[in-house]
Amino acid sequence: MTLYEGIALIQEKQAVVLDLGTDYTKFGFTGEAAPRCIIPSQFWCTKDRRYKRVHHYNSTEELYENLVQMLHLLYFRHVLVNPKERKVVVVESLLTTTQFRETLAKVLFMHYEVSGVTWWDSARACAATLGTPIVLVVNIGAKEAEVVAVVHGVPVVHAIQSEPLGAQTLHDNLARMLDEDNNAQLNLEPSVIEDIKVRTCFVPGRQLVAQLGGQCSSVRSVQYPRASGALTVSGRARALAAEPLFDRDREQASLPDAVLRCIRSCPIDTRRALAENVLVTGGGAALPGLKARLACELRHLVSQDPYKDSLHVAKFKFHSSPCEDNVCAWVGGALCGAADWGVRAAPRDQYLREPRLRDWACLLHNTPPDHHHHCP
Amino acid sequence: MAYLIQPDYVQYFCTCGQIKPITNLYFCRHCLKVRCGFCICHEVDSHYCANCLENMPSSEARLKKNRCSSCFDCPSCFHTLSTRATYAPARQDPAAGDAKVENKQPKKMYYLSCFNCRWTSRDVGIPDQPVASGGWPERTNPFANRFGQLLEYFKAIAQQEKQDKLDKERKKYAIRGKYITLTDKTGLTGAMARTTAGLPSSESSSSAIANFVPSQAKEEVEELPEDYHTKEVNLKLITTMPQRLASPEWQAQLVSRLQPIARPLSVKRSQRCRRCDHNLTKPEYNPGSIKFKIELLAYYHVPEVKIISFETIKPGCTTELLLKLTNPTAHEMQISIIQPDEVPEVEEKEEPKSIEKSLEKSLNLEKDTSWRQVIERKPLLPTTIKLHKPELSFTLAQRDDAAEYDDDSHHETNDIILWRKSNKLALRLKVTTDEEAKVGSPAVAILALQYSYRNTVPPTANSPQTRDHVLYTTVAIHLGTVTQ
Amino acid sequence: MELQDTYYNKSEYVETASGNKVSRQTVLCGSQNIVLHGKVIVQSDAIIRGDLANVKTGRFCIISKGSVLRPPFKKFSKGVAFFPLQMGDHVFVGENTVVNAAVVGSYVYIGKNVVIGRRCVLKDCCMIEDNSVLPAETVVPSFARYSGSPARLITTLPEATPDLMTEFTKSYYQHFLPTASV
Repeated sequence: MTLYEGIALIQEKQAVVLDLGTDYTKFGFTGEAAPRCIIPSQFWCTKDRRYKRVHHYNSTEELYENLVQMLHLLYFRHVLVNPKERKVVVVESLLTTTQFRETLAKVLFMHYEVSGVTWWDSARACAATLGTPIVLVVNIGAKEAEVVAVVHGVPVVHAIQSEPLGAQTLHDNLARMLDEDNNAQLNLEPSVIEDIKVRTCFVPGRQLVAQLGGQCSSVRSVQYPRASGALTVSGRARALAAEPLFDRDREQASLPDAVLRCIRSCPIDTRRALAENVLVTGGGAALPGLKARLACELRHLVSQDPYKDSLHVAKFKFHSSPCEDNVCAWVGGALCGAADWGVRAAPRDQYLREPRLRDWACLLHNTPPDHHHHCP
Repeated sequence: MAYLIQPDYVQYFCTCGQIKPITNLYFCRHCLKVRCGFCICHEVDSHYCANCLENMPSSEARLKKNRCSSCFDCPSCFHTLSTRATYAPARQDPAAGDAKVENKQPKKMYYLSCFNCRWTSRDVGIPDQPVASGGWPERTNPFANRFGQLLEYFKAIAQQEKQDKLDKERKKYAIRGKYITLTDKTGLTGAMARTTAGLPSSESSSSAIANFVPSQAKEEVEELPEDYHTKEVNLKLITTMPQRLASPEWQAQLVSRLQPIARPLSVKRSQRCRRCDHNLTKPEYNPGSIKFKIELLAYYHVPEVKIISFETIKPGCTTELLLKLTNPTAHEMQISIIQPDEVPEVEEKEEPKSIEKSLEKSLNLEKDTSWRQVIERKPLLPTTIKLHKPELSFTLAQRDDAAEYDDDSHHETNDIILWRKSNKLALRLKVTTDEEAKVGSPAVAILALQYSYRNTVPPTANSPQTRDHVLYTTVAIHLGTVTQ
Repeated sequence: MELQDTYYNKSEYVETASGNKVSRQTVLCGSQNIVLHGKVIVQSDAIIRGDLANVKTGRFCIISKGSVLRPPFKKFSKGVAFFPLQMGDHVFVGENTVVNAAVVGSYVYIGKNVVIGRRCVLKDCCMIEDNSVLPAETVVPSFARYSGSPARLITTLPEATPDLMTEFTKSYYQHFLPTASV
């Protein structure tokens, strides 16, 4: 690693890798094993005298300004390099809105005058940290849990599953249970909820959940200290905060269902390989016990309806990525960005000529050349 | 300083359309335009540590990953750690542990301690050091090895792919795929797919590819211990999210694994006008200095407007407003107050550019200006409050630091100009509020200033500049809310 | 917004030849060790502990009501020693603030109800917002705006801060007027 860093100093400027998540932003250099900083995706807004979240916007112009501020913070407070004439690797979800993608491109190319941008979707980036050809990436983010099958470097687009089962769902559920347990509207700060989740909550195994029932009296409660007196985090809140992820009541919109549906939608010859190459990652996956529980649920569910007859997968095997869960996609971006030296980056002058991004959802870029809809 | 502790009562319109207080604006002497942080180009000037105020050359900063080599932050509360000295045998005696000894003792040992949360490097079992600065154990990323392997592997594939492409071109037979897929876009993974699918890769498959072992999936996933849920949770031993994220490489989950964080460096920034590439601010190199080599702030070049007092704004009423105007420049200023719509639209001289032009420009390494259309905003002007334009143009004397000791209250005054004091004067203006103005909505009056400005840039050969200019600036004045 | 006039009771304040205005209702311990460099306002109930070590302020400093300037101490194995407190020009110290700093540079704004821990160094041109607590031995760099408890950098100050601060303290001094009567 140090050898490559040495080369990077001599060669072209080391590119930066940006993963602008809903809650946390990861930013650093390509070819490094960890981002330089993981900071909340927010910036100090001088006008309103408060922190403002990048993802809170009502118009494209507001988003543009948020991104300008956020990138200024990242470049000049944390990574301390000039954005100009330096390449950027953007790691993003395949389901990022066009508005966000294009505004980010505009900010990077026009405002910060970066020399090139490579876009990597987070699923392929995560898969890259393993080096295995077929990976089923289960990425639990802040807002959504995404299941994407990556087969030989290609995400199986029609099989992508996305459910609103991210950290936010857990936080809402936890906040509700804390309110119930304390018989009060606590209106806890999101950061406090997150802290309670991170430090006290866990995901009990399948059997334990059945054993506990809804009561969880055997689970120890925790006194969470606050400035205004300690808050009791009941055993129920600790153990069941993540239960919405496994709740099948709402039209089978649980996380294990999403995984199985994704496998089922994939080509038949890849299904077994996918099931044997699952990577559970994303910040939400770091909760203690979550991966074990998901594995258990998958093995149970595959023998049930509606998968029993349509999905013949015997085994599930799981990978662990060579990094912390919350930076997996970033690390993948840093790997891929370093490997090709940004050769595939969309250069700035091309963007100036034609300010349009390639997008998998856009037929302009995906029509076969001999198809009659293809335009050169 | 009132600007920093009060809400922004008076805001100026930047050339790009942003509305900001005068303290956040710059004035480019070469374009004669107001600029703001949004429409200028920021650059890293020099790296320094904000704690020990040492400069660090940027190459060294890059090697040290932008971290100071002698200062550390507390991993628990992020306050700066202090180095404390102690005698080596004094460890048994807790009273002496907190004392720094000045006399030369061969067994003097040092440890790090936080004055805010009382965390010490001894808490996590870091041995005391014999030297005051540096020498603290360095940690390596636990995944560095694997990451290195992966990187080598991907680089070999990329290299091979490049080679293949060259070979193919040489052989002159191009097999074109039917579909442009995502694989083509990146190619990297395509090559990977080929190798793993067992397709013949080029003969010179490097050892990095041959020796690479992909990640092995395991059937068993680490389960929580059986008694996990009945165990007592001691929150004092579990790190918080900010503590984990402060060191992205390790993200320790237990307090006992926290390590001092080498302090991140700060930078001094210089700022540049995007249009003419002249510096607007350039700080001095010395980290402790607050001086600037170049400091083209609007505060020093544009007449400053301040509110002295105003009457509450009521719909349909005419109210009075007292303003104070200051001339910050070293030359006399001729000022008149005009309506905002009287400001002439001064286009920054530019031929209407087509896409080809802008491309041509960027190829010729000329200044390309495509950023302008992206950055510029058209601010919405509230029109409910109308200003009564005084038929008056007045001269404002230059800034004179000695004048504050003079007593010169014998200036002519009239209905509009209440008083004058060296380079300042007070104006009494009238504003009328619309009948329709909504009660409770913010009351904002817009006025524009026309002022003369003497340019002090020495004229260059190719641009015969006139010294005196007439410039305009638009100001939004916040007068509380409309009340009944 | 222009500063409003602040009036004081003429009999309460002592005005020195160098233009210092010092309230009689202050506690100035060890006044031989206190140097106010001119045009300094020390308002009622302020405490300056010159008995511990020297306290020096520059010109145009404002020490608001109920604030405390106290030289910092340092513990040695053989006891405790106090170090002088130096303050630059154009410094504003808000109400009920305790300053234990070793050095306060010029053009520094310290809000109200702030605690500046012992042996802190506040470089020129910085701002500590109201209700902040600065832990001991903190170094606040120039153009930084600190807030919170423990105080942290939240944003930066504009480049014109020295001039803004100069204007602020000067106009505060000019608007600090004796009541017409008495």
